[in-house]
Amino acid sequence: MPRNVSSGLRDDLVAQIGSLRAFAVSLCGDRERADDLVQETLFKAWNHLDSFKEGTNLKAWLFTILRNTYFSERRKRKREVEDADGSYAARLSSRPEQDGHMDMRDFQEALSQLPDDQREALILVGAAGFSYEEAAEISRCAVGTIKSRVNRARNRLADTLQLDETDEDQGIFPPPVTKSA
Amino acid sequence: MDRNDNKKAKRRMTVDPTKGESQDADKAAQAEAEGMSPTLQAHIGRQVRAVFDEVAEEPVPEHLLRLLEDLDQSGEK
Repeated sequence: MPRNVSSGLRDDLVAQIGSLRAFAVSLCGDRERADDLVQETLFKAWNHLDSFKEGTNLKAWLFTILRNTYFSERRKRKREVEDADGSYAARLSSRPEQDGHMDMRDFQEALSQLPDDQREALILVGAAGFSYEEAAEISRCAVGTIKSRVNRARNRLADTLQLDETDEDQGIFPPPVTKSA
Repeated sequence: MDRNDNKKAKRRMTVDPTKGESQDADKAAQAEAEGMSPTLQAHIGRQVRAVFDEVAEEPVPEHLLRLLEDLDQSGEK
């Protein structure tokens, strides 16, 4: 049990819960399991707060704990039930809240079909706000590996969604302004 | 989508390219980034953030907040 957890540090923990949940969902594709992961992460973090140096990167520390928790559980589970290919995508696309822009649902679907390591890298760097260096530490790999994964993820998404510089029909790129009109 | 003038496309989130050991991987990453315009990268970036933020900005579930409160109290005793 940690002594003297400052209320500031507790508030900092609370402030990270949203991002942790989003990261957890992106890892496992399952909202309920994601919340279990976050709960376990908070529990572990709390009990190991003495190994956290205040003033260093709390968010990266928490993400690392969550990721390690997820993978060690997954390794255990794999022994029991082999997770069939595509089950991640199936779970994610059967989420109840299917409203929202079609555009975004398509994107979400494509994101769910990325290889795990590419999706993780893209989420860490492109959405969670980590630098390549931080993402590399969280994922325990070289900085160049993260960069490469991010690029491959982007290219694959562009491919899957058929995003292309010339495709103005997608509504992504506004049609060029006609000079004389 | 494999030509284009976008040498700078990949710079967006780069921090310190001089970190030693992974130079080769860096080069590979740069090669892979060729061919994607900044506009397209930005578009993908927005979408990734939208998917992430959709969950991140939800209200924190009660039971998670309660967990921290409980831990806090048991810790102070």
